[in-house]
Amino acid sequence: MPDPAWLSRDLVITTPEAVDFTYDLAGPSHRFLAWLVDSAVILIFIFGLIFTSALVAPTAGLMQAVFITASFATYTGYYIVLESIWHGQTVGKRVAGIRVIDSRGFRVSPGQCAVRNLFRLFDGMPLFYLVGGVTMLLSRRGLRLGDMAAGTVVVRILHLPSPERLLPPGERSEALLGDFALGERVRRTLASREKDLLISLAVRRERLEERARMALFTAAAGEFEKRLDIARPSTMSPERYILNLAAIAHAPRDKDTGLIRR
Amino acid sequence: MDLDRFISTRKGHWNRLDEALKRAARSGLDTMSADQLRDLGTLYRQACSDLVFARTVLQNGDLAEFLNRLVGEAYGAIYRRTRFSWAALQAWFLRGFPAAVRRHWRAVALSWVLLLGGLSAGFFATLADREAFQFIVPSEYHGLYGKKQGDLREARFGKIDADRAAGFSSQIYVNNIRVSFMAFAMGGSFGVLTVAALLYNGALLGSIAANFHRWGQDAEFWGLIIPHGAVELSCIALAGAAGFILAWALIAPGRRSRAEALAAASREAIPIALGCAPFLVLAGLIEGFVTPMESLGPWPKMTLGVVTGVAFWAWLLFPRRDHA
Repeated sequence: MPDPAWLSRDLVITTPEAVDFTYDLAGPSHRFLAWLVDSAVILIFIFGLIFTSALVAPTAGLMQAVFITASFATYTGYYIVLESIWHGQTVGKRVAGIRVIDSRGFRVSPGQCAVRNLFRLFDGMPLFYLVGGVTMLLSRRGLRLGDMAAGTVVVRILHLPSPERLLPPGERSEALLGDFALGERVRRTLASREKDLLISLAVRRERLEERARMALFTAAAGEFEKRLDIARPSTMSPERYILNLAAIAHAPRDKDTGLIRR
Repeated sequence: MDLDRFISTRKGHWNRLDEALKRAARSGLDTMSADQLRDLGTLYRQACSDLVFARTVLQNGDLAEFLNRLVGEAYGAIYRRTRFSWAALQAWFLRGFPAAVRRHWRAVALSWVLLLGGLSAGFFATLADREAFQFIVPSEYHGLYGKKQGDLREARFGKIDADRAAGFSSQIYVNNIRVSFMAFAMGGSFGVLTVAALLYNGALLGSIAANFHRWGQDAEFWGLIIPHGAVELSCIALAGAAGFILAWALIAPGRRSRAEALAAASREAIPIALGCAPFLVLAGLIEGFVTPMESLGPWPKMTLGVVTGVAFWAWLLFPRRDHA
């Protein structure tokens, strides 16, 4: 089945500095996952309330009052409070890696959280979020009605490692990094595009599925071994070999002398 | 400038920005010193230009993706609206709620007309044709049909003591808060469901009232409705008005898109929808504890209802100079 066009769409925001940046809009699957997790959390919490209200309330009538009030506050307030204090996230949204933001790129305000979540009463009609689901499919940005009313969008948050962390301390190999002549060979031999490839491998490694990651790094390590004629020590994993090469290829140089700083 | 030079000269800045953002997320911008804030601004603008550079000159997708995230986070942290505070919440409730009601008096009036119109229609239809009662009122209340006063109290409240009253009032106010939130959200149906809900709830009350009118028990019946109903029906009408504010944005968005008009209308309507909640708790407590009291006759109870209702509307409609 081809993806609906909006699935691949980004939210582009232009800052007052006239710079564009983009957010990936979250699709129905991520939002459904978040909803599932949040529903489970609410259910468990309300289940716990049955016992706590029995413990704190001396009589049956008061117990009923405490339970009814607290469970209503829970399923109405859960999303509003968490999204307000966690900048647009709930437990489920954290699990799914998504966040609610103002459609202009700001953080959500408590008022927006209230609007989009009270609208669940209408988006949830008549069953299983039919109204919200249909508006999500029709809207350009994949919004349910509550999002439109609140002026919010749901975006994916990607935890990209900073370029600084290309080579974690635990992966350092002093045998490779400490060898100056080897370093010069790497820097001279490799074209800029090959160096970029090393960075891309390092940056994206956390996002790869386990088997694909193994296969990719094994293949890449084989290619660079041949290209550079630098043998990979038998105790070193292909991934670690590539990470160290990436660090060597992009080692900082002194501004004036152009020499590698140690 | 090639990629490795770029990263090695700039990554110190990016890490500092990342650190500053983490600090801001932990303890808020308010706790940062003037120097730290100036630093944050500078680092943010540098990251902006680095993002453009990575995209256009270096054309490295991964680096651009990283900077894109960094700029996005910084933008969200720097350009933002007022933060949540209890003082703001208080002002929003004490002043924002009544002010919104006054601004949207037309929507409030429309709500009342529909609610009272439904009530009269239900009342007169049931007086004219007894069958209308079976038609309007759901079967769970059919037990009330033709009952005398003593049975009426039993049917509605069972045997009431203070303990049962607590559970009973919580059920009532939770249900009513839910109904008023629904009325707000139903505005999304272009007002169709809001109109239907107001008319139907009015008709339901009118039809039951007509049934007791037939038995000459008006005082007893209204003695069971007015004490809490004055505030409760007011809140239902206000929630309906909140729904109409949204509906009007969808029907006549003007030059804006419907989504934009809806978002603007929601900001207007949400204080009304949320502001009703504490008053519905009050109405629920009256309904649970005061309404069923046998020692109090219908007239004192109705007086109580009228007084709370008048006080509520006086508070809503007359701005207080000392707070303004």
